[in-house]
Parts: sequence; C-alpha cells; structure tokens
Amino acid sequence: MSDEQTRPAYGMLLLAAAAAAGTALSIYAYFNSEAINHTAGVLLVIATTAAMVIAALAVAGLHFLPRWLRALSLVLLLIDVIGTGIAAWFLETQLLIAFMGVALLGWLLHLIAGPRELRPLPDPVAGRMPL
Amino acid sequence: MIRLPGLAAAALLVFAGVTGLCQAADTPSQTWYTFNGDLGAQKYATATQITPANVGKLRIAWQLHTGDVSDGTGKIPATVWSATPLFVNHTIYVSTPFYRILAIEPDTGKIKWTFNPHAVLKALTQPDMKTRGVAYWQAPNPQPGQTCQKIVYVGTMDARLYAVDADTGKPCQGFGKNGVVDVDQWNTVHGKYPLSQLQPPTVYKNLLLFGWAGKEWAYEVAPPGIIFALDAQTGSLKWQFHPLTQRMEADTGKVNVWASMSVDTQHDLLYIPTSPPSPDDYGGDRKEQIPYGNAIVALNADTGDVVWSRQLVHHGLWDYDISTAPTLLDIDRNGQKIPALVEPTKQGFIFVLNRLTGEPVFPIEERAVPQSDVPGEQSAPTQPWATTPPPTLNDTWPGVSRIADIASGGYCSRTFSKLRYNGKFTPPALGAGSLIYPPSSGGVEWGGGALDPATNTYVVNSSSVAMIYRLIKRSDYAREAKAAGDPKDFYPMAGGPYGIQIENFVNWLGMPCWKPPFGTISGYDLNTGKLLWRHPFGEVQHWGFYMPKSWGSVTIGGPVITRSGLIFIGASMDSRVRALDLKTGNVLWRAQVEAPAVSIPAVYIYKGREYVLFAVGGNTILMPRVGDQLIAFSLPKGGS
Repeated sequence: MSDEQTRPAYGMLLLAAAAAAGTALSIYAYFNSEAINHTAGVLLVIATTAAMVIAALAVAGLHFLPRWLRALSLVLLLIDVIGTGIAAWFLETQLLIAFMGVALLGWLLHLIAGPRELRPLPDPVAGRMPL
Repeated sequence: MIRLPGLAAAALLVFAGVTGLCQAADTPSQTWYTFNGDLGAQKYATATQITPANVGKLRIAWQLHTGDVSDGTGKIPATVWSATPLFVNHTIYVSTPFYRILAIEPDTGKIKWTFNPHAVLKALTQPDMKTRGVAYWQAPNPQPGQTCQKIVYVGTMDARLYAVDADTGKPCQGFGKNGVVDVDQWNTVHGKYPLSQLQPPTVYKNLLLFGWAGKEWAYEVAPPGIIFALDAQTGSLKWQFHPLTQRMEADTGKVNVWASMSVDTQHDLLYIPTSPPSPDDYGGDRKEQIPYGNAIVALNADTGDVVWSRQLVHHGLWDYDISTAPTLLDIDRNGQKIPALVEPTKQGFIFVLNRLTGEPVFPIEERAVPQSDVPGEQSAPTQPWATTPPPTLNDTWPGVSRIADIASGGYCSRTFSKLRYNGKFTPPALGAGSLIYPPSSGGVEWGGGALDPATNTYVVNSSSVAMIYRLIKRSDYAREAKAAGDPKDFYPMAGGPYGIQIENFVNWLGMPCWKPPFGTISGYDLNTGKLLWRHPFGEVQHWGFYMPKSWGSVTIGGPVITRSGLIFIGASMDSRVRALDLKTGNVLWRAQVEAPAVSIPAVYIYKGREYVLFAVGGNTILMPRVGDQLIAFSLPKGGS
C-alpha cells in the first residue's frame, strides 16, 4: 500500500467535524431556539447531520469497506450535505448553513486530495475509469 | 414643533380631563390607556424617540413570563393571548388567558401586584382560553387615601367582570357585589351559554361599555347581542342597547359585539361593530330585515339611543362579523374637514363613512351577488361594495396553487372542480359545499388598522384564506360529524334545518390549495383613497421551515404607528415582531419572540425612554405554538 493510499482522510474528518457541530447546534436549537424549537424540521436536521457524522467517520476510518460501498457513501454524503443545507436555509439557521458549507469543502477535499483508493483512477488493466 | 393631530388631541384631552391626568412634570408623555391606544382607535403614538434611522438598534428592555399558558394537551384548554397591554398610572396592566391581572413596572418588568379571580378555566363558549386585555378608569379628581379612585377591569369567559384598585390590586367592594358584576344576570333570553367577557370594556366618561362573545355556531336561536353601559364605580346598569326587536329575538339572536368600540368624544358617539344574527351560516329562519346586524351602529354614548347605522353585509351567511372598532379621522378634502371613520372588513373592503351621518365618504355600490340554492334560504340580492380605497383582497380567489396541487396528486384542482364558487359572497351550499373567499377569518380581523392622523396614512394587515363551507342536512349532521372523527370543523347550528362543516382548503400535507400571498400589509392615503403600497407580510412557518417571504403569512393582531414614521406589528405566523417604514412598508427591524404575537402592541414613554411592548401568546388558529411572554423593546441607553 503506498503512502498516498494510507494517508489520513482529512476531508472526511473535516466533514465529520462540521456535521457534528451541526448536530450539536440542531439539538441545542430543538430545545432552546425561540424560532424553531420542538419542530419536525429540526428533528430532521438532527437526524441528517448525525447520519453524516457516522458516514463520514466510516469512510475515513474503515479501510476494509468495499470500494463500492465507500463510493456509495460518498454520493449519499453529498446528497445529505446539500439536502441539510437546503433544510437549514428554510429553517433560516445561518450557522447550520455555514457548517454545511464547511462539510461540502471537506467532501471536495476528500475527493481531490483524499486517500488514493477513494479517488477515481484509471484501471491499469482495461484503461477504463473503474467508477 | 410637536403637532398633536385634532382627533387624537381631542381624545387625549377628554381622557386627561376625565381621568385627571395632567401633564405634570413627571407624567409620561405617551400613555396607552385603552385597547386601541386611544378612543378613536387610531393606534397612534406621538412618541418620536425610535425612528426609522435608529430602529435597527432596538434591544430587549425587559421580558417576563406570566406562567398562564396551556397548549391544550392537559386539562386546561389551549390559551390565546390577544391582550393589548395598557400603560397608564405609571404602570403596565395586562390580563392573562387565565384572567389574572398583572401590574408591572414599566421600565423593569417587575411585578407590582397580581389579582387572581380564580376564574373557571374551561372552554364554556370559545374553544380556547382567551383574553384581549384589561380596561382602566380613573376618577376625575382622585382623592388621596381613598381606594378605587383608579380601577382596572378584567372580564372572564364565565361572564364576570371584576374591578380592582389600580394601585393595590384589591377588589373594589363598591363595584357590583364585592368587586364583581355577573353579566349573566342579564342573559335572560335564550341564555344557552354565558355572555363571555373577553374583550375589555370601552371606558368613556363614567361608563363601561361592552358587549359579549359566545358560541354563535352552536344554536340557531342564540342570546341577543345586548350592549351594556355600566357605572364605572358601582357596576350598576345605566343603559342597554338591544340590536334586535323583541319580535326578532323570538326567531334569532346575537348581533353582538365581540370587538372593541370607538368613541367620538367631541360628539358623544359610540361606534359599535356588530356580528350577524344567529345562526352564522343559514338565514332561512330569519328572513326579515335586521338592519343592525353586520353593521356599524352609532349610539349616543350617554343614552344608548341609535344616531345612525349602516349595514355592511346584508343577510349574513358567512360569519362576516364587523370585527374591529372603526378608526376615527378627519379627512382633508379640498380644504374641508370631513369627520369620518374607516372600517376594514373580513371581505377586505375598506369602508369610509361620515362618522356623524353614516353616509359614504367614498362611494359604496350595491352589487348583485350569487344567490343561494339551499332549500329554505333566501340570500340578499345585492351586497355593499367599496372599491375606493382599493380592497385588501381581489374580488376573485387567487386560484389553485400548482405546487400544492402537484404535491397532492391533483387533490386541490379535483376538489375545487366539485365546489360551488361564483366569486365574493358565494353562499354556503349543500353537497360538496362552496369555496368561500375570503372566509370568516378574513380579510381584516379584529386587530384592525392604524392611522397616522398627521397624513391620514392608514395601515392595515389582511389575510388571504380560502375555506370550504358545506351545509349538512340536520338528519345527516350527527352521523357525518361523528364519522369525521375530529369534530372541530363541524358547527351544529342546533335547532335549524342544517349544520355546517367549515374547513381550510388544504391538501393532505397541510399546504394551502390557493396561491400566495397568504397575507399582506397595505398603506393607504385616506384623503384620496389611494393605495400607497402593499407588501406580503410575515412568513409562513410549517414544521419549523419558513416559506418564501413573497408568500406572506396569515395574520391575527394589529399594527400601531408612531409619529416618527414607524409601524410596529407582530401578528404573523412566524413568531416575529417587526418595525416597518410608514412611507414604504419596508421592514426595517425584526425580532424573534416565542410565539405569534397575536395582539396589538403598546407604545409608551416612561422616565424619558420609549418602549414598544408586545404580548406574545399565540393562537392555535395560526399554529400550535403558544406562549406567555411579555416583551418590551427600547433603544439602548444613549442609543437615540
């Protein structure tokens, strides 16, 4: 395994951190915000940001995951980040929008500069893109 | 130069004269002594400290939680707090939905005293515990050392009117029986439910003037809508006004006044806005002319005699109460002053009348309207129509919302195709029912509008709502109401040939089936009758998500205006309070509060500082969020 393949997934860790901050913020808002406390919308973003944390940590730390599952997780994470950002916009929660912006940066960082095994590479045998 | 506009000045002078309020050095320069701020219902503050330039700096000065709140999940019904806090006698006075009175320090929010009548906390008439606040009276020359020279009054759902000393909160023993008048003692005709005292009395001279709220949808023949005038000190009855003749009272009831009233203090005229006769939505058993129903009636305030009246809805079938006190003003036309009043309605009309004669200042047409096809009904052939100033709502409903229709798989358009709809004043129908736009929720509700008497700029918030009114034959009513599971949309009108189901026209997701905006705020020049501006107002909030600002919000509650050119208003679903620029209607400031502020704010000056005070309690009609927050905003010290 080359150095490039084993280096830490900083992008995913950044995404997980932003999502965790989003979860904490959402839990706080659920109980304390005058604007959106005890609403279904906040419960939704608590769930989506928590799922984001779990998925990002899994992608970052579980190297034994099959390649297809890691790729699927990346796609779902992107949908989660964008969807949560839109929900945050409708909840008028600027800080959560900012966290999702950071999460998106993490996702891009992972795609561009993450561990090699996660990046799309030319198939040495067939010369095709494997994913 | 400080210029006090004529009518406001007259009202203030009368109040000052009556109550002995002199402009002493330590006397506040801006009181808020009645439900609408003043007896002319202008909701106008002469305060100028907070301006369009500095309103962005407003901060919370103080807040308190009354503790009197219920979301309806326990034994106590949900609370609706629509109280205008009063500022008078150097004190804030406000009642809670549990009918306690709080007396509060105006600059700190500390409670001076409380009065608890231990009222029955049951939905005896209204489905929720409601209050619209307290009333205040003061002797012309208060005698030191004597109690009850200044009195605060609160009414309850079980028809009691309490009087307490404004300085101590102790009951005024000389008022009624040990400080309480049982208004139900006069509930002798069809007394099927208590004459609930939710709207505080209008105080004029030595009189308490009030009507009652009830359960109008329950019975075909209901109690008649009597207006009472009591002696402010003793609670003895001075006069009564019966809007129905004795013969009419045999067949029908109500024509009551839920709303606040206004007073022309120069001419001793009391203006009462009335509701329709009972039952609300079927008139086949009350076909005779009932001229004081759905009308503005001007009474001699000293005697209760009718001076003039003008009916604004004929043969009411829609529960279009005339729901707010008319605002009094002097219209400037070609150098002539016309003594006028303006009455916004649930249909979105803005009627402007000569307040001494009742004649229209701007033309009112009688337009042919759709006729009822319900057996036994005989709807009015025409209805009054005011086109100047332009109504707050269009004559036809906004049409099916494409988003709501798609989201519901075509439910909205399919349902609409089955409904009867022929424009404004489409009568309720049997079968699938009728689309009613606007319905009884307005248009303009009880909060009414506010007036800048210096420019005669009139500001009013209005909702845009579509509902389905479906009459049900008596023989089918009980079965259908039971089958529906949730009976809250069913209104029996017992004793008559029909009950009715009234429901919002929404899809299964709760999305309105009609196009936005759902609420607007408008500014008018009442000298010319022209619309100056109109904007969507507030935001719809559902599951915590805010919908686009262009959709606006349904509103309950009213605006106030300050001489510095600001409008303050809560009222919207999004639990925010706002300041708008009077010239443009643009939002200049907003703050989050804990529930919709479904009330009229108060503006006052105390110890040289201007405050804007909101009662934040919510209304389950708007959304389930309720609150008990009383919150005052002011500029930071030195911020002005």
